[in-house]
Amino acid sequence: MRDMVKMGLILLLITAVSGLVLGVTNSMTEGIIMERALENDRASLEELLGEADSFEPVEGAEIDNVSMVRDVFAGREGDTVIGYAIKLAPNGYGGEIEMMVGITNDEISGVEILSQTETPGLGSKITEPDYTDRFSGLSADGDVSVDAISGATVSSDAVVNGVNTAVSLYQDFLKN
Amino acid sequence: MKLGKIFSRGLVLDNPIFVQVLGMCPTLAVTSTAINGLGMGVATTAVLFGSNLVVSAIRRVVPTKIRIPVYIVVIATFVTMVGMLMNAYTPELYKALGIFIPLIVVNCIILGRAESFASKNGVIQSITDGLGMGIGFTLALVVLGIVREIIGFGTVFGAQLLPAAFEPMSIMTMAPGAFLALGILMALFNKAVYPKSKS
Repeated sequence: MRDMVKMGLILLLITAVSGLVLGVTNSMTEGIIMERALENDRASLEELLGEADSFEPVEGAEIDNVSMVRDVFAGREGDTVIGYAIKLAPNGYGGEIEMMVGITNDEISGVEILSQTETPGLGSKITEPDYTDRFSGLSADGDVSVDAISGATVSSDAVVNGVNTAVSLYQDFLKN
Repeated sequence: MKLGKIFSRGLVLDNPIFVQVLGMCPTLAVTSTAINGLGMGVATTAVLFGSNLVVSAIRRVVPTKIRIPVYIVVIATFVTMVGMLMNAYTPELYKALGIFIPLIVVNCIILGRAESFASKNGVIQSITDGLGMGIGFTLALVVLGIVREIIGFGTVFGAQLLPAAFEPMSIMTMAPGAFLALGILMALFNKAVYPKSKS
């Protein structure tokens, strides 16, 4: 009985120290990680909607109702909206793929992969321009299709799925 | 045992991958390129160093009956720390390695060294053992990564090595290629290190 209490206390002590250490590390790194995530958003927006001089989030029930859509940004040049960037997270082979799709003038201006946990060396190729460039310039008035990456069909399909969701959101709601 | 000997044992005679055949999950999964292998190796070495240090330091306080949960807590703490730090400071590598960073927790090299070495030896020896094993693991992963990357992509550390006319054999970047490369490398390594072994 006494042994059990002692063992419990030792385990408690060790887990408490571990929790403390992790808390300190987390508070050290949290800010940097969040900041970079925001910066990445900003950088992707500028990449996708180059001509816009300001960005503002678009909100609405129509957007909330579409699964996997995270955020929608409108890019403005002065007062006119010149395009939209839609951030979504379709499911890939190894979890969610966070990506952003830019649409200007009924055309896909580009696709950026923000974060992913696909198989390194295979599915992770979806992040390479060689793949994402295949979407650039495609018309945004219907479903798109591009050649998949060999050996990474699921990851490629997930990205295509994301682009198509963005396109249909644009057609059904944003365009009007 | 001398420190130098403890250290070099992890590199060659007891190499975690080629001789002990431990930690096969990350070994096979992330070595599709040399840089991924290196990143995984360095992360594992950092965890191994830390866990061996702590396990050895607290070895007299921890009752035998609960040593395994204690080791797991220590290891998980270091892995989570390494994961957070990599996410903050080496985001590219963190993205590339993804799920295999948290999975270092269940890498049997780390628990294996805690149980069979750090829990029985002093702090200095344990750190040396952790570094030796970690670097041996890293070297093996990098070699495996280089072989697979050359054949699978025609590059080494991202730099084009083979002429563009070479058609990369993408099987080498996938699971079967990992097994093939590992098997052949393991055979060569053992032939070189244990040439007179009769078995």
